[in-house]
Amino acid sequence: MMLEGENPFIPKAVERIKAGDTEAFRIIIREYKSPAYSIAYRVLRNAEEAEETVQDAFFNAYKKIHQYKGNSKFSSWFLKIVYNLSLTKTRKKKLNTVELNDNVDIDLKNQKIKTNSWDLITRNERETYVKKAIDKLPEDDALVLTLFYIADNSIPEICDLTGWSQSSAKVKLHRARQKLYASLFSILKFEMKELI
Amino acid sequence: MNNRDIPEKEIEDILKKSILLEPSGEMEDRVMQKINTHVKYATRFNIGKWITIMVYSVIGTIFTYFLFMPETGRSTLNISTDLNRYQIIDPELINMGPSQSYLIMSIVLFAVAVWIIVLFNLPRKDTARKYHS
Repeated sequence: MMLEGENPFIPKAVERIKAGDTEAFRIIIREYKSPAYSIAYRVLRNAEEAEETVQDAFFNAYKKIHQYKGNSKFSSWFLKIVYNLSLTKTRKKKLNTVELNDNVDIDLKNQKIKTNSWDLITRNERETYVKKAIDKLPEDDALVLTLFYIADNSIPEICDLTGWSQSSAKVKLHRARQKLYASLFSILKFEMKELI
Repeated sequence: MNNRDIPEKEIEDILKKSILLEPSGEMEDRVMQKINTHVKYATRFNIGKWITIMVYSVIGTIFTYFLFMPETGRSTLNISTDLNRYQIIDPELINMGPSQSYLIMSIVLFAVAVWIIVLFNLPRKDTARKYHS
């Protein structure tokens, strides 16, 4: 069954894996390693742990592939495994996460971020600063942004993956965007000060 | 200095492009190695596993035998006396004492237990097919 937004090679690859063709799993790995790693990294905040978690998630997906019936997108099914595994590892480790709300909650009410710094930097630098700004966001905010852009702007898919309600996901996304802009603004302000 | 808004559209474009993080290049090979090892061992006869199963089954049989054997006075359950009335094998029919009939019952239980364990440990058909192809 072909599902909207799904790479047409994926259902075929799944069928091949179910029929015993282990090598077909490479197609799955190549297609989903980046989204999976991005989600794991946003939850765990550690590159090594994220990589290990994604490897485990791929392995679990291989072992449970017979449970995937093709009623939903394979990406949703697999990324849910990644998300749940990442959450389990976070809980187990009881990471001491540092809330960065204080740093980025600048002028959230008057959310009109103005700077001329933006014009002074190149496209590559802009990308670097956006990445830095995401890294500075609290875990939930960075995660919701990641999921939103990975899931092709689909709120229902985010809800399916995380178990959040639609309204909750929309609110989280809105707040995450606001915080991202605030974070970006503070980074740019700091960088410009350094330059001057 | 002229202030202006950070263009939201551009940020969205950057996010779409840069939100995906790349894992190390070795991930694919590591996962495949793990899967291949799993497939290999899932279909192989594992002598260690079978020895463990046999040891546990024998212990289970001995335990069952002493648990339900009423005549020797070593029974650990009161229900054993009642059980004597519902013997699976009638001792008179096969000319043996009740304790011997309980031994047979234990052996039957042992066989059932082994078969249940065997059924749950059989390799999957699909992985076996791939391994042997």
